[in-house]
Amino acid sequence: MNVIVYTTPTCPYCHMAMDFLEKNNILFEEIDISKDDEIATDLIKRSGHIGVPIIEIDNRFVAGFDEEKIKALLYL
Amino acid sequence: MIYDSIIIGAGPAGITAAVYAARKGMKIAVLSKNIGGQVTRTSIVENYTGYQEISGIELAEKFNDHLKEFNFKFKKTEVQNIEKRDDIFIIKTSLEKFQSRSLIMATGAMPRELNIPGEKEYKNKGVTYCATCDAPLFHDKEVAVIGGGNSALEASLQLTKIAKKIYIINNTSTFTGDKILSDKLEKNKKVKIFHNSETSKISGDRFVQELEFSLNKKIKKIAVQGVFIEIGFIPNTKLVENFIKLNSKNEIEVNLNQNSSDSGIFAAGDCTNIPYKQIVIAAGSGATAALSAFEYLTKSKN
Repeated sequence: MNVIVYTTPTCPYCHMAMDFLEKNNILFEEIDISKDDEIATDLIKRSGHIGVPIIEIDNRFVAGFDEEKIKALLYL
Repeated sequence: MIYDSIIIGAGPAGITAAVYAARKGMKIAVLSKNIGGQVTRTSIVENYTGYQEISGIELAEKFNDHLKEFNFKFKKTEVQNIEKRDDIFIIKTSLEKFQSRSLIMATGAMPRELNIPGEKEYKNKGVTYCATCDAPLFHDKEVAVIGGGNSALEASLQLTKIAKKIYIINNTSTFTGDKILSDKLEKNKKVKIFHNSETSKISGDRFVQELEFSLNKKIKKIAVQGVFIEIGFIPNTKLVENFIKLNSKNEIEVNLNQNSSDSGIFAAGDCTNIPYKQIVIAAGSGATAALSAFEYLTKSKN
């Protein structure tokens, strides 16, 4: 499973989401989208969301730290 | 096992209450969805004594470190129901049940919504309630900040470093936030301020494109890609609304000892009717609540 967490440096919900994934032993990549406008613009277009965290799980997007949705997509 | 006190919430009020209660030797548990509460959503804190400047996340981490000094139960969980039976409080989460002789409510508050057309539809599509989280995504964009208190002014200041243009839409005649912040904004050429203005509609296509507001009974429209809503907070008091006294703003009414209308329930911080919602005040009231709970327990044991 390919999991990416898109974040900004000052976003508490991003930290909560990453803590949650770590606790459940899910490997993920963190991408700070405040550093790269191109990545941010592309992500906003692909996901339809402006706001972090955005969690991408095998090309499906979860907006915000929505524990239930994340669990469902990860079969936890 | 019956606890001396259960503290609900772990923002500045709950954590300070826990520290004071633990030092008194009270048997306590802290139940909270998160650590730091609203502090974690504040970008920079410049008015907490001892720290000239500290990020909200860092301050919350310091609170957490302080909490870890003591050996009591901390549960990251959401309380779903509170009952009182024969002077004992029964606190239920989705999985567990706790019992205690007293209760300290430090449940804080959550962002207030505008309740206007477009707000719900465009949430996470340009509308945001967390400037610290989402401001970096509006690089070179035009944005509106709704509100006139410190949260709105701080969000606007943060955005001056990121966005191309910032409109501040405030529904009163002057800002209620600190002058040190509004002075900086009034001098900034990127910022345009509309006082006495009532936000009425958010619209767009896939994302936000336009904001409507009324000024002197005329409708104005501005092109924006982001709308930051910073219009204050609603206290989290649903859990106790049926058995203690709340005021018209749904805040828990407390006396000088932070005692509510129930002699065993104490409350501190933004969920109460204390006049100023500040980190340092929340922390202070948390200390009072813990000490008052201690006194209550000592008296009721005798």
